[in-house]
Amino acid sequence: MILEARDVAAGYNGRNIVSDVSFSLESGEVLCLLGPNGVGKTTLFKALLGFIPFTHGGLFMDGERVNHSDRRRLASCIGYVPQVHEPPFPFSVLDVVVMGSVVRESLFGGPSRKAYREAEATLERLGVSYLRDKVYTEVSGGERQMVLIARALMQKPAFLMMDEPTSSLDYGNQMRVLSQVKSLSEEGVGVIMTSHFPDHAYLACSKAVVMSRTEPFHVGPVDEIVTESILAAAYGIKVKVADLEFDDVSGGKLTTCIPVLPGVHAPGMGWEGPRRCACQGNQEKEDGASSATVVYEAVQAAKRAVANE
Amino acid sequence: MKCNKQNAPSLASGATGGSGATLGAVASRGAGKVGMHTAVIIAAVVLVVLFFASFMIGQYPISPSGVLDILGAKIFGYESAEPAMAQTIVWKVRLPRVVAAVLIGAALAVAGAVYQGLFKNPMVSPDILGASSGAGFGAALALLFSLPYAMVQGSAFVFGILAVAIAYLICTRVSRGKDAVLMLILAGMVVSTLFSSFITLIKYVADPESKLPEITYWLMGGLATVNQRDVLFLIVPLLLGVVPTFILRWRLNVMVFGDEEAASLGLNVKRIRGILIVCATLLTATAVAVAGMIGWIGLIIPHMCRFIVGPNYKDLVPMSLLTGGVFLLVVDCLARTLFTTEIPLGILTSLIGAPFFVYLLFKRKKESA
Repeated sequence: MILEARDVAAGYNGRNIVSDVSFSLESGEVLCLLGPNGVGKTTLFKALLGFIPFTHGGLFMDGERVNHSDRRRLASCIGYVPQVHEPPFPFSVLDVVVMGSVVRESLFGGPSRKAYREAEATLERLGVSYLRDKVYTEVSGGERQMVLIARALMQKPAFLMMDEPTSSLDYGNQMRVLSQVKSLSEEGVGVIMTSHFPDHAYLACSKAVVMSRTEPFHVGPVDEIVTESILAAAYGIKVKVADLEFDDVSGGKLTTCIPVLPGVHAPGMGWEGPRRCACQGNQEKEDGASSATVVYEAVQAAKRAVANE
Repeated sequence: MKCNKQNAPSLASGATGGSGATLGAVASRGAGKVGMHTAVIIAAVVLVVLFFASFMIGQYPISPSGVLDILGAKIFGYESAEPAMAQTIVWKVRLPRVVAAVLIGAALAVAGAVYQGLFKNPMVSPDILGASSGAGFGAALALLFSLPYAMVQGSAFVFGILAVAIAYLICTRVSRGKDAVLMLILAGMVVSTLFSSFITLIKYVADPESKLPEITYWLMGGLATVNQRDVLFLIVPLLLGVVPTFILRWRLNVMVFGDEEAASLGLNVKRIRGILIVCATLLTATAVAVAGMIGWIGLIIPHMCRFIVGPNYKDLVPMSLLTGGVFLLVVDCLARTLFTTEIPLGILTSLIGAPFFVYLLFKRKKESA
């Protein structure tokens, strides 16, 4: 199946936060949305899930326009894994997971035995069946994330949208969630996820986009998108991308992003950094330097505007 | 690189320290069960036993065999050997009162459970959207104009619904889909306060010799004047409120996780919330119209039931229904037997409810500590 966003724009109160968003995602692909705070990742997510209306464009599933008011149908196509949070009542894990079957169950009464069996099987599939009888509000953040993934899988969706699936998780649990994302994609589920860590794109994703206020929305393969120049332009910091060789890793190679701390690894580089770092950067391309300068100048202009007020 | 079983235990060692397990065990006992929770069945049995027992209690005691004889005589059409006085008391006085107590207690408890789920807050009570103060105002207004008793109930019912409708209208106008729940609670608070001050205004202008005490007593709540007609008045709106709630109760679980998640799981959030608010409001307004303002039931009964059957609405709604019925039945029996004069129900439910609630809070603290 192919999920396509065509020329999507969305925002609040008539003002577009994101616009000209187009991408397509096939089953089994993982798209990583990167970008600084406030750039509109959440807005785009909400629009794609139909929580806020598109102001332009639309979402297409296999060429057919997705009707966001048909929630039942949508829920069987796209599953949503929200950020981990705490509900006010101590539901059991199994009861939370079985909620994912709510679209498929009949109107009367509760979930069927079959739904409960499926919920157990889904927990098993994610390797967390020991959570079955635990209380959702008492398990750890990583476990809750797994439960929410299981709940979304109960919808049997072709695509999963995960809003910062690694936020508020410790290092190990972040990687466990990412490996789960990877294995889900191998089972044919298409995933769109947001993250604050470019490394996550290299670890688990096949496509990426770095959203920024100045550059157009462009989705491409991870190694073309998550580059030093694009990251520097989007986040306003210097970043090094390195390929590392290992003997004991399948594939033999890992790619990683290493940020260069302003004023620490590049002496004298504070907020004035981007311009100089862009010039010094040995691998930096010309356009990278210019977009870094654009960000720098925008920051300076904003500072002046604040000072004038 | 699968999240296999070797990883699993380390994932488990996160926040769960094994100590919070007591509450967990209580809460998850019903997990994964498709059939009815045992506690629900026990509550049903308790309700039936107390229902018959309460016919015996009162200023005029009647023996268990007497009660069975009187009830059986009517049902099976034979002559009862009991005195005529006892027969009249059972049929005309106690039966309507006992049935009304069960129905009203059940209605308030279910309404409370529903509102708590919709507003994702266990500290919510059925008057959150102004149904109680609206109904109180309606009754006070009718009493002020010396309208007949049926009109007092009708007016209370209409204004109870009206208050919630106003709150809902304000919410839809203000929120436009965003923060609907928060706006609804705020609008409910405004409407509730408004109608409370209307009640005070009516009390202020009411004749202090006759009308003021009448209004004040009505607002305190009680079932002393309930007759068979009142019970008939209760049944239809209560069924209209309870039946859809029963059908939608499992979906209410999903609503607890918030509008966006419920929508992403495939629910029509606006429609389900609308239906459930209408149902819970019907239940509250009907209860207040017949019995006056009886507080605490809608707050503590769902809370208590959550300790017994867990938070799953599949069990919580029937459990609240039965326990609410039992609770008000017992309280009403106390109200009419503790002293020679009746104690208003509203006072008793607060006197019992407040300390009991504190006990529940302590219990929860101990179990989760």
